[in-house]
Amino acid sequence: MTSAAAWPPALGWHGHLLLAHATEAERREQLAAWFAAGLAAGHRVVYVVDPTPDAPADPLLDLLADAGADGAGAVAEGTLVVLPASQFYVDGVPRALVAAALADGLAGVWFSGQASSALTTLSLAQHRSFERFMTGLCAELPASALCQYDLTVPSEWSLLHTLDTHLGGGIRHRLLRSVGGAGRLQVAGEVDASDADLFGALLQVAGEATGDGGPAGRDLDVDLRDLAWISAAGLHALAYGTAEFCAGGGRVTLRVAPGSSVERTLRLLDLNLPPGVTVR
Amino acid sequence: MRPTSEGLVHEALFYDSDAALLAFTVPYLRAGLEAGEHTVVFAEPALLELIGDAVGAPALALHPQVPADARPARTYSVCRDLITRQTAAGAPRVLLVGKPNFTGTAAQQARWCRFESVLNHALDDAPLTALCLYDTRREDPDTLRAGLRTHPRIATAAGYGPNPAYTEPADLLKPEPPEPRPATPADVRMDDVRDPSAARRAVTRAVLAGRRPSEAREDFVTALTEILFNAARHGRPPVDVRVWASSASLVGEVTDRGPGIDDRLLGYRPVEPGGLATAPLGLWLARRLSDDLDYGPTDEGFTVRLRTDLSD
Repeated sequence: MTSAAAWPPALGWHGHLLLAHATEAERREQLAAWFAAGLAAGHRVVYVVDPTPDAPADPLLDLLADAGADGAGAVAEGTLVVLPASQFYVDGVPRALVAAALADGLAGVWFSGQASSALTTLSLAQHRSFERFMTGLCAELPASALCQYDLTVPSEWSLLHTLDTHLGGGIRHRLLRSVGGAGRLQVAGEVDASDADLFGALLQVAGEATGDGGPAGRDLDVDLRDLAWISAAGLHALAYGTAEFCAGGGRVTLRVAPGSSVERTLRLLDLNLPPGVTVR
Repeated sequence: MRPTSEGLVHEALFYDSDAALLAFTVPYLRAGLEAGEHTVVFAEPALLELIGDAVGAPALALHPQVPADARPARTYSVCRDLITRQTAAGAPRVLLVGKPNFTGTAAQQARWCRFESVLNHALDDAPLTALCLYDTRREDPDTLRAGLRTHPRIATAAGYGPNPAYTEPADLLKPEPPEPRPATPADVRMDDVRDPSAARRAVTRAVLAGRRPSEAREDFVTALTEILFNAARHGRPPVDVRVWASSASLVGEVTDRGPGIDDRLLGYRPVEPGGLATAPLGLWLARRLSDDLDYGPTDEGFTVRLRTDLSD
């Protein structure tokens, strides 16, 4: 979780992040930007791929070429390392990779892989445990992780369970970016029909993360000042994303930029916002 | 004298003298106050003074009229919120006596006439008594004719009771194509829109780029986008978008090839308290964020056209 002093942090590529994508084009666009930022920051990029023989090769190098980046050159220089999942999801390996990068004079390591590839070697429980470990690693060492999650593929583990281990670092989606803290959530970008479910799930998880023992008497501060636009679908998501938290006695404060489109849209609802939700 | 109902009572008084106005409204308002109803008069200042002095009750609330250029669809929500607050505070009903603001342009007058009709649907179950005042000396004939068709009960010199000329809003707002599109070529023309998010950004650039921030322009984009997402979700492709931008107005239209919407009244009814998660909000938002919104079948498919007046 992010410290109080740094709030709200920059919504860049640092930390334990979730790249939520609905199309391959979205995934590639974000991944290319992440890769370029990682190398520019002097980190080693470790890219984890699905090891199954019949799986299509991850098109990272093609993707980098399309984006004008020299992936092959980075491999030759040692700034890009491609690892099969079976060699990465092993006790001690991520930490050793960071140590090696530091020993080589690099600033640290940026990890990325598709969530689906993790499950080729880990059980659901092991994967959740690993995600919590990565959150700690990213807080402790000069490391960041970008976990790629396909929103369109029905998964054995739910979006909610994936979000709760990435709440602090946040979501990176083509329209929406977030970062979380204790009782706080910042959401920037746009919420339309294509990312409304993500927005609703994020609110739900942020409410659950305010503490153990139920939401009674707890506060969730949602900073929407950098949200440029919210649609009707986003308003629905706002209602169902806060419903359980507020019904249990939690309070949600939505902070909006004065005079913004988001403020006007929310003010239209006035008394129709769920009880427990206020706009400031 | 006043009808009793748990839901909406919507009446009109047609009067031709101040004496006739006061003879009807003063006992009407006093009855509301005696019943513990939250009782409000909304009118221009001279009329507020006239009625306020005649009733002489401190509990009578006196409010100025809604401006002629306000968006009527928002007024349903304002009324609903007032009713929610006052009934929560213990009032059995809300009583509104007042004058719709017919002082604006012909288009604005037409919007308020439509407002009067749709009120019968939008707040049909609300504990609200609304008495609308029509001064036959001042209002134009079209406004008076509209008043006659949009109030289930009327009071005139001839009597007080059910109105045989009343027409249900669903019949009054017959399915028909939207008003003709502007004669000039569209300033934004997007055919077969597949990515509504990208289309929204293109419209935003066309409408807002290089200009001072404008509430009306931003609201137009939001309203048009809601219609676009509705077409993408409920309509049939291809979905086309057009925008005409002039110094006086923004006109947008979205056409898809689906059967469209039968219900002329969709999106007017205020969201019920606690009903946000399931309310049909797209058209609801679009109606509240534009000045006119109409839809119907056209040669090209099913078209929604909306308009926002500009003053910048």
